[in-house]
Amino acid sequence: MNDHDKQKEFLNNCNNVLNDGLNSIDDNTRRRLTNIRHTVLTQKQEPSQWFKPMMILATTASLFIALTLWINTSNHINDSLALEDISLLTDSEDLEFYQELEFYNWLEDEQIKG
Amino acid sequence: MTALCVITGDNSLNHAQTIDQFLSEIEKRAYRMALIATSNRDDALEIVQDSMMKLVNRYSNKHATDWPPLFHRILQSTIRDWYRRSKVRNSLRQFFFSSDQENSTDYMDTFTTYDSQPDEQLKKEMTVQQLDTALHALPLRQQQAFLLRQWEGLDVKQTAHAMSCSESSVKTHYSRAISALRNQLEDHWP
Repeated sequence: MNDHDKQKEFLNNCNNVLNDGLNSIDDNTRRRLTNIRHTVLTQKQEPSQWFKPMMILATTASLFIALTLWINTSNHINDSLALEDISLLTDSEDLEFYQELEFYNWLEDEQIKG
Repeated sequence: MTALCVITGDNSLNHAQTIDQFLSEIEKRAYRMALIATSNRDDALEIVQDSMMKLVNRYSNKHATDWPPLFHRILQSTIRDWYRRSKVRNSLRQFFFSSDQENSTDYMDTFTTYDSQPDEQLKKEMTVQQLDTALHALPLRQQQAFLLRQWEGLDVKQTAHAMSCSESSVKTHYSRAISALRNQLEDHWP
């Protein structure tokens, strides 16, 4: 018997042994397998009963959170703008510059003419 | 309208019966595959339940001829997930506790257990146990390739689909599995 035949015989033996293994499953396990199958088939319809309300609830919650975050972020932006205004107003030199802006423009025109 | 409802009802009833029949035909083999991979009955049953649930929830609307390849793919994927989880769990356990507590079984022990004259049934059970242990000792991918190609009779392409890998990988895993199993078992088997 060459190696190829030996391998073929070995693999046939493996198949037979694996099939024997099916018969060695005890009664308790067989019952549990049957219960599992029945459970799976009866539970199949259940998700559709609660899935839609849960989806609606989840979507509403997501929208609420997104809206809250957006409003908070907008407020933060306004706050930061307000802080910039305060710093501008409290900076005396910068404020003076803006108040005399017309004078500086006139001075520049005069220098160009002259 | 009533007639339509009756027809639809009959169809769904037939469909449910077909799924039930398919699952009842495949459940024992699926359980055995999961048991070989996990060596734990409860884990194996959980894997079978998860796989069945995924098939029924996601693919029950498919044609019955599509179920076997889909189920194999789901089952193998679920076994792989279990394997990854158990690897992490074992690593953590080894990190926190002594590795001396590891409970491993040497499959060679089973060869010397029954050296007297066992009866036919006992002999069969012993041989099943030997093959189970040898298969369990293989790397998971080799184990899957062997069971799907040899026991389930899938071709290389179908096995690659079930294992989510390339056909060349299947050939390599299958060949290595045969070689390892022959080395371990061939001389010991009756």
